Amino acid sequence: MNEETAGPENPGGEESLETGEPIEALSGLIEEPAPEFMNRVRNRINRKVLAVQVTDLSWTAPILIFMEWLRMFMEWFGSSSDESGGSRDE
Amino acid sequence: MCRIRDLRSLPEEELLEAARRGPEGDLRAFDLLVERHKARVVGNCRYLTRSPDDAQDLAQEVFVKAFFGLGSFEGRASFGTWVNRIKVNHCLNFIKKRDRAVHVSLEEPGVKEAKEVRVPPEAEAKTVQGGERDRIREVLDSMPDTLRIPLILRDLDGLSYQEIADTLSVGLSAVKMRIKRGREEFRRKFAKAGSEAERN
Repeated sequence: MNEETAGPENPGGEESLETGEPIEALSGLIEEPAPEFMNRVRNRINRKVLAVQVTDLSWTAPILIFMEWLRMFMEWFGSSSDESGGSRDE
Repeated sequence: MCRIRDLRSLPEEELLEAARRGPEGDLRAFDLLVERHKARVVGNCRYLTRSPDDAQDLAQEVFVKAFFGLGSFEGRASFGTWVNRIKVNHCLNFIKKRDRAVHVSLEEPGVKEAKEVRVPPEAEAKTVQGGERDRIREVLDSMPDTLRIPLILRDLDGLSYQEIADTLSVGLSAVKMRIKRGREEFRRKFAKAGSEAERN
């Protein structure tokens, strides 16, 4: 059903209002993008991706650092226990 | 790894799939999608907002939104149609913000003379110069938002009356009336500009 004309499903009333012929000159109207358009789109995308990655890292970095400290502490504590246990054996 | 030449020959659906599934940071497939649609999107942004200065930025923002929305794009419509919807909403939000920024009472002293309130009279004067596309541009710029926006959504973007009504949050009959009046006003002004150009 052509929306430009009233149909049997819209007998009379405002919905059968004829809107006239479309402006054909508008259908293919384009504007030439600036030469740097593609670069700017890529840069905007890359900046957003970087911002998301940095934000993720700002949440996970403290946890990672804490885990590393904990591991170092456990290793140090573990090696200290081994040394004192070894000296008793002598 | 797909070469750029291979990607160029792909139909749009496959290019879209390549863009969605491509490794992170690989924008080649998406670049090609942008290449195919950028002129139309820039044009739409320019004529919807009546702002050549903002059209390029708005179009870039539309494609950035499209890129980050690829994951949720279900593929029920074509990429062009989907980007069209993003563009329409983005431009309408821009227009609302811009109009809010200049919303003052006309009763205040000096407001009626303010340049932000008036449709620039030179917009109509300029229709006598330039080629046909310049005339179209100037006629559209001289039309008020209430007529220009529905006209562009219908005759340039190809949206249905119901889609326009939903997008603009107005009734279907109001949309049809505005499009009817918009077409009449466009034809009248375009014909007038054409005859004045011929006289000059």
